Amino acid sequence: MSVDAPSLLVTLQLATATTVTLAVVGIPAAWWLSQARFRGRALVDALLALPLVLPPTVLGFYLLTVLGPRGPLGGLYGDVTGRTLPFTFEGVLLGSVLYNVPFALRPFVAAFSSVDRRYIEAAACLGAGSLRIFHHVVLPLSRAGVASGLVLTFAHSVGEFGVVLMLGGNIPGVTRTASVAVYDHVQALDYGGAAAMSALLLVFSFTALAVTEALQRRAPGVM
Amino acid sequence: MSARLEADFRRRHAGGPAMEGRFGLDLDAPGVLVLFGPSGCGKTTVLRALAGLDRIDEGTLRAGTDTWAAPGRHVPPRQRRVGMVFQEPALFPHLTVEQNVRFGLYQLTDAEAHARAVDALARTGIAELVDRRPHEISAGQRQRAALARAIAPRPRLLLLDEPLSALDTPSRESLRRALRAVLVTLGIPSILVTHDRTEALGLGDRVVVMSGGRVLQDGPIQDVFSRPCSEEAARVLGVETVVEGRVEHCAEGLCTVAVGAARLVGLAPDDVSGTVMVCIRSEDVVLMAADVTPTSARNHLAARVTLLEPDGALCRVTLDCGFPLVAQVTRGAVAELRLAPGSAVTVLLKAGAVQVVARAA
Repeated sequence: MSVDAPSLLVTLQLATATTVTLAVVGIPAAWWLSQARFRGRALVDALLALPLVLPPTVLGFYLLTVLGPRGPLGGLYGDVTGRTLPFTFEGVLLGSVLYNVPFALRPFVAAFSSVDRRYIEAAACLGAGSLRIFHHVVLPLSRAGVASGLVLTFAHSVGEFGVVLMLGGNIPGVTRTASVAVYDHVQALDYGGAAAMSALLLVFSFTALAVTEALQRRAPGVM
Repeated sequence: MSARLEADFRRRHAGGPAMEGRFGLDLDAPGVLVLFGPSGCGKTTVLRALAGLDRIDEGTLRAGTDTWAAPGRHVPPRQRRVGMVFQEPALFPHLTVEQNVRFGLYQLTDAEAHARAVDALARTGIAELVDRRPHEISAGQRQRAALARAIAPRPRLLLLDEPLSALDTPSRESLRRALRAVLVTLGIPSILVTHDRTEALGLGDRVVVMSGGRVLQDGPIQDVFSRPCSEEAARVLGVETVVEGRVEHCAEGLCTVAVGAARLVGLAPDDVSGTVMVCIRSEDVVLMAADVTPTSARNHLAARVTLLEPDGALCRVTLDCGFPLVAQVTRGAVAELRLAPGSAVTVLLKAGAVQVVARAA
C-alpha cells in the first residue's frame, strides 16, 4: 500500500492553477457582478450556478464535444497552437476552471455585496473611481469572503472527478488526479491504495471546510 | 459672471411620489443653504442627486458651465468635486483617521497630503486622533473626522446630510459650533439637510423649505422663518400658532383679520381675501400685565393663561385670547408677571409678527 505520488502532484498542480485562474478572472468579474444591474440578471446568475447541479459528466461531455479537434473551439485551438485540448493538462484545467466558477464567484459576489454601500458612496464622493474603490475599500473589507472562495475552489478542484475523467482520461503524471487514482485502485481491486488516497482526501477536504467556516465567522474588516 | 449651482429636477422612487430639487446657490461665495423639512420630505433624495449618488428622472442640474445631470446625462460623483458628510460618519473601518482623511488626496504628494490632512483635522478639532481607528474614537469624533475627510480635498461644494442627528445633545452642540467655524473660515458653499430649527437657524444663510417632495419656499433664512409664505410652510417651519381667520380689509400690505373672537392686524400679500391662515411665532409674542398703556404694537389682546410648560430657561405659555395662541417667554418673566393657569394678561403683537397667508387647498 502506497500513496500514488504522481497523481497527487497532478492534483495539486491542477488545483493551484484552477484557483489562480479563478482569482485573476473571478475577482474582477465578481466585483462587476456585485455592482451591476441589468436585464437578464437571473439568467446570468443561473448560468454561473449551473455547475452546482449539472452532473460533471454532462459538462465533461459538452466540453469534449466543443474542445475536441473537430469541435469549434478545439479546432481553433489546434490551428493556433498545433495542440489538442482533450487528454492534456490544459484541457483538464479549462474544464476544472469552468466547473469551479460557482465555488469561487458566489462567495466573492456575496462578500463584495455585503460591503456597506455607504463606504462605497463615501469613496466615490472623495473622487475615487471603480478601481480605486475596489482596491482600497471593497477588497480590504471582504478579505475573509475572498479567502473562503479561494479555499473552497482549491478544495473542490482537488476532489474533482467527473470532468477530469471525461476530458482528461487517465494519463499518469498528466491528467490522472488523486480522485481518479482512487477510482483506478478500486477498479484494480487495490483497496489498500484506494484507502490511503481516500483518507488523505478526506482529511484535506475536512480541513479546507473548517478553514472556510472559520474565515466566514470573522467580521469583515478585521482580518 | 459668477458660477452658480442651478437645480431644477425631479427624482421618482419606485411607487413613491416625485421628489423635487428646485433652487440655486452661488458657488463662488461662501454660504450655507439649508434644505429644511420633515423626515421623508425628499431632502436627502435631493442631496444624493446633487452628489451624483443617484440619478435624476427629469429636469437638469448645472454647476457653473457644467451640466451634472440631465435626461441621458449623469456625471459620476468623482468628477463633481463635492464633499459629502453623511448622517452616519461612514469612516473606512480598516483605515486610521489620517488615512481616512487622506483618501481623497491621492493625487497629491505624500508631504502635501499629510499637510492637508493635518490642517483638516486641526480645523475640526481632532488633530490628536490621527493614528486612531474609527472604532477607537467617540461618535462625535468620528463625525468630526468625516467632516475633515470631506473638506480635505477642498471641494467646490460641501453637502451635509443631517450630520448632527446621530449624536447626543452635548456632542451635537459642540459639533454644531465646530461646523459653523469650519464653514465660515473655509468659505466653501455648503448645502445642509436638516429638520432641526436650531441647526437651521444656527448654520444657515438661506433656506429651502420642503414638504412631500415639493419646494414650498426659498429665501434668506430669517425672512423665511419669520414670514412663511403659506400655511404648509408655516407648519413645516414649526410656527407654533397657525389659526384660521377671515379678512376684513386690506390696505398697503396691512390686513385686518378676524380670528375667533379677536381681531388682528398683520402683514399680508395683496391678493389675500376670504378665509386665510394667520401664523404667529411664539418668540414674537410679548406678554404684559393686564392693565396696559398704549404701545406701538398694533395688536393688544386680553388673554387668559391656559397652560405653562417650562422648557430649560424658557417657558412655553399657551393662552386663550379669542383663539389659542402659544407664547415663549423666560422663566423670569413668568415669575414677574405671576403667570399661572387662569391668570389674565395682555398680549402684544407687532403687525410684523402676524403673518397672513393663503389657506392650503
